[in-house]
Order: sequence, then C-alpha cells, then structure tokens
Amino acid sequence: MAIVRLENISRIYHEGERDQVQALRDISIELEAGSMCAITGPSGSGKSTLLHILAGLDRPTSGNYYYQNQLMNRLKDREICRLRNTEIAVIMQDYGLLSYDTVLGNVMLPAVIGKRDSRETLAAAKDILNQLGIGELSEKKVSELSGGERQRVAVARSLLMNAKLILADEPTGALDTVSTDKLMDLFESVNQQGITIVIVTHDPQVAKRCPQQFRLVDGRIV
Amino acid sequence: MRRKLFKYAFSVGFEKESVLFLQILLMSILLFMMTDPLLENLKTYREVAVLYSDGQQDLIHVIGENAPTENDQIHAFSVSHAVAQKASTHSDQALDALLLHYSKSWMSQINLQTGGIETAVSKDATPVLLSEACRNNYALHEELSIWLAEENITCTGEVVGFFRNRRLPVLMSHGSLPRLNDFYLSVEDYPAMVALESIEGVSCQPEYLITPGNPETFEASTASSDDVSGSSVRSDILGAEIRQTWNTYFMDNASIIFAFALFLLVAVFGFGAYIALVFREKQETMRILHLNGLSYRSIRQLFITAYGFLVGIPLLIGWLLIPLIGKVIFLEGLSLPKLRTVLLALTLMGLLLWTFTSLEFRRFEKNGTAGIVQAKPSKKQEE
Repeated sequence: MAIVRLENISRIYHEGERDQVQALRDISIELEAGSMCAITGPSGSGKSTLLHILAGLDRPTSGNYYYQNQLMNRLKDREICRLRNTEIAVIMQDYGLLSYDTVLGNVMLPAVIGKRDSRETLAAAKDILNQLGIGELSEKKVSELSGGERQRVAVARSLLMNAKLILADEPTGALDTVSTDKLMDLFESVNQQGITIVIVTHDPQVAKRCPQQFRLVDGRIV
Repeated sequence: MRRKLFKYAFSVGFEKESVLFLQILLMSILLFMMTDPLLENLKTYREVAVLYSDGQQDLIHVIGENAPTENDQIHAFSVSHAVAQKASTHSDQALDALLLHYSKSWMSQINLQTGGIETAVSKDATPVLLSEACRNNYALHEELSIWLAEENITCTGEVVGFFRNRRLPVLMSHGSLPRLNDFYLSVEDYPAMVALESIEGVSCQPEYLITPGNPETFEASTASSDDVSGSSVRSDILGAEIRQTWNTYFMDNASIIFAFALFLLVAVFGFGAYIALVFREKQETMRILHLNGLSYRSIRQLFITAYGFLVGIPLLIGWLLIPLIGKVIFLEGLSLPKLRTVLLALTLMGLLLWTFTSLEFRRFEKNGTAGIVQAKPSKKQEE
C-alpha cells in the first residue's frame, strides 16, 4: 500500500512575479509503506522543496499529494501539524533541536506538543536514547553535543511518536564518513521496523544504501 | 501542555530577554540621569544680552535656579578697577566685571573673560561676591573677615556657602554695607572683588548704592577713589535683556548632548544586534515547535501570551508598588514622579518588545520553516 502518492506536483515560488522560480515540475511518485528511498540531485534541483511538501511544511502550487490516501492539499494547518506530530517525523540538516534544552527535553518535545508526555512516554524516550547509545547524554544540553550526537538525538525524537514516515533532509551533510555509516545503519534498522524513510541527499554513498532512488534535475525526476 | 510549552517560549525569554530587559532598565536609568540635568538646564536656561550704545552686545548665559525669568527686570552695570588689572596675570583677564542686578534682589557677577557666572542667593543678607579669580582662596576669606571686623562691619565673616559647587564663597554682612572703594582697597592684592547693592531690609550708604540704569553713578564712585585709577569699563551700557535661545543652549550643553547622542548611537546598535540575536533564537524556537507539530495559531498564542506575562507582570507589580516603593525605599535622586517616568518608559519598552514578538511571529509565518518559502498557504493556494 502506498503511504505517499504525489500526482503532478509543481511548486512555483513568487508566482507571477519577476523573480518567479519553478522549483518542482510535474512530480509524480509513489512510496510504499515500509520503503526506504533517497532523493538525490544537484543543488537547486528541488530536493528540499519536495521534502517540505512531503512534510506538509510547504504546499504545492498544483498537483495532489496523498498521504495514506488523504489529500494533504485540503487539510488545514492544524490537521497537518497533528500529522507531523504523530506520523510524519522530520529530521533537518541542522537537526532542528532546541540548543538550550536537554537531550531528553528535545526528544520529548513532540510528546509535549501532542499532549502525550506521560511517564510511559518518558520511559520510552529514555529507552530510545539508550538504544541509540546516547542514554548517558539525556540530561546534557544539546549545545554541548557533537554533530553526530545531535543527529542521533534528532533521530531519537523522530522515533518517539512511532512515526510512520521519517523524512530526513541531508542528514549526513555535516557528518564524517564513520558517523555517516553509523547513521545509515540506524536508518536501516529503523526501516526494518516498517517505518518508511525518505532521505534527501547529494551524497551518492548514502543514496546507494537506499533500495529506491529518485533523481531530481531542475525540478523534474529523471 | 501549554504550561510545558511556555517553558520553551520562556527559555528564550528568561535567558536572553531578561538580560535584554535588564539592559533596558539600566539604559532607562542612565538615559534618565543624562537627560535630567539637560532638562533641568533647559527649564532655567536664559541668556542675558547686555546691549551697548554702539550696537554691540555681550551675551551671558545663565543656568540654574537663580537664573532670571522673563518677568524679571534686569539692569546692567559695568565695573572695573585698577586693582583688578594690577593683580591680574593677564591684563585682559580682569577686563571688566559685569554687574547684573535682577529685580529679584539677588545678583550676579559675571567674569566676561571666563564666562563664569556667580550668584548669591541669600535674601536676608548682603551678599559679597568674589570673582572667578578669587575662588578657592580661603586665605582671602579670612583676611576679609578680619578686615570687615576692623572696619567695624557686622559680618559673620565666614564663608556661608558655595554656589552650585563652583566654590564661590558668599559672605554675610548684617550691618552697613562696606564702602565699595574701601573694600577694594583692603584687598588690593586680589583681583576683581565686587561688593553689591544691599538687598531689602539692609541699609546702604547712599553714595555706594548702585542705581539701576545709571552706570555713571557707579563709575563715579569708583573713580573718586585714589586707589582706583582709570577704567577700561565700557560705560556705554544701554541696558540688558533676558532671552531664551535654543541654539546657545545647545552650544553650551554640546558636550553632554554629544555624550547623549553617542550613548544613544551605541545603545541603538548594541540593542539592535542583541535584539537580532534574541529574535533569531525566537524564530528558531518557533520553527522547531512547528516542525514538531505545533500549529501556527498555537505558536502565536503561546508566544504572545508568554511575552505578555514576561513583560506585563513585572510592570504591573512595579506600577502597583509605586506608592510602597516611594514610601518605604529611599531612592536618592529618584523621586516618585521620576520613578513613574522610569516605569512609564519601561512600560513603553515592554510594549515595544511585545509588539516585536508579534511582528516576529508574522515574519515567521510568512517565511515558514524552510526560511525561504511561503509556508502558510495563500488564499489562492488554499482555494
């Protein structure tokens, strides 16, 4: 069953203005639940735009985006936010962590927003941190962590709410080779649990580890 | 949920904006301290124009609580004496002493060379004013006292006060006014000493009474003494006017105004940079909350409320406690009205901070999580 279906998605920035930019052109793809795919392409090809649309952070100018057969275009901001809180996790290149909060606080953030910050969730968060090998850092502030550790915190946060779809924007962009391999191992193990993973990357080595790949050039899939 | 989320809104607030707020508080006090004397000077700032028969004029700036008001009548007299010239290091230093007599019955002696302004304020005694050159000369005061005693002039003979920290001694005399020329003679080693007209209730010897509007009277009295030879005084004074001019006020206060402007400049840039830093962090917090599923509407409510509390509660407490602060806590130089002014300034700044937060949210809403795209759909897109 397709978890994501894009039909002729186009995205135009500053439409009708002089500096109009067409970031995406007629993108049509389907992602099966439990799949792991990479979206590659040169800078400015529209990778991040596509990821933002998948995350509901941006809306297509035209075309339809179905997430689990519901048309995302029609959902209100509040409804999309609820989905992003519970089902669609996003890992940004800059990790998207609150630097002044602790590791545990960051991991618990979606639970707090989703009003599920119970003791069980707290225990689950600690479990996840232990599984990712950063359990001992739980009370440390994010600002004190290394890039690799921050990336793992971001992954831990995406796992807390049992997301069905994890979207990662250049997750290895700031990591060395060893950390990159470790992170990809982590993604593979998460994927084996049935979670769909979409990784936007320009690193061919990362893309190679994903069974499904889409290459974007000038906003088109080639 | 909201309580825990407030933590995030406050995390930026308490760690950064509390510092910002504290800075604003200190700034307000500093600004207040800087502007207060400026405003005080502004209130009392006057310019006395001494007009001469040849059309020229001397402008003398008088600042302070004893400055004349527009309602005062003013008369100008020129005074000069040989003693002053003799004792002066530079021949032009003791050029003239200009005597201004205000209708308030207090007097000023102005040394034209230095621009010094000296006034005596006692209303129940004869003020004897010493010129610029006599300042800080305590030996002179003692000598004066002795001399006054020898002359059988009832006088405390003591320095009873200094005017506006200028170390201008004021001597009190309760008897007959010392004869002007005698006075000069007795202190011939000291420059430019002027005895002034008695004020109400004190008898004066008529020949030494200076008649307003008739400088010759005074000239005659000084010239009659053998020890006072010659005069470089301009005796052609027509009169004097009291004016209030802004340009001269700014010129006279240029240093403090310059310091004030510099302070403001630094403050604006410093604050600008700091506010930009805080706002960037605030935007980052908004972005991360949105990324994790908090809607735009909730973010707006969260931040606007949080900052409303952050700014509002301390100010509310401040306003409510004003009477208590005023009564219980002694704040030197910070009276109740001034405290109110400071609080008013803080309230305005708080409102500004709150408005900025609101504007920041709008900016975030427009730019969206990606920072480059219009995340919130336009009406057209929604349709």
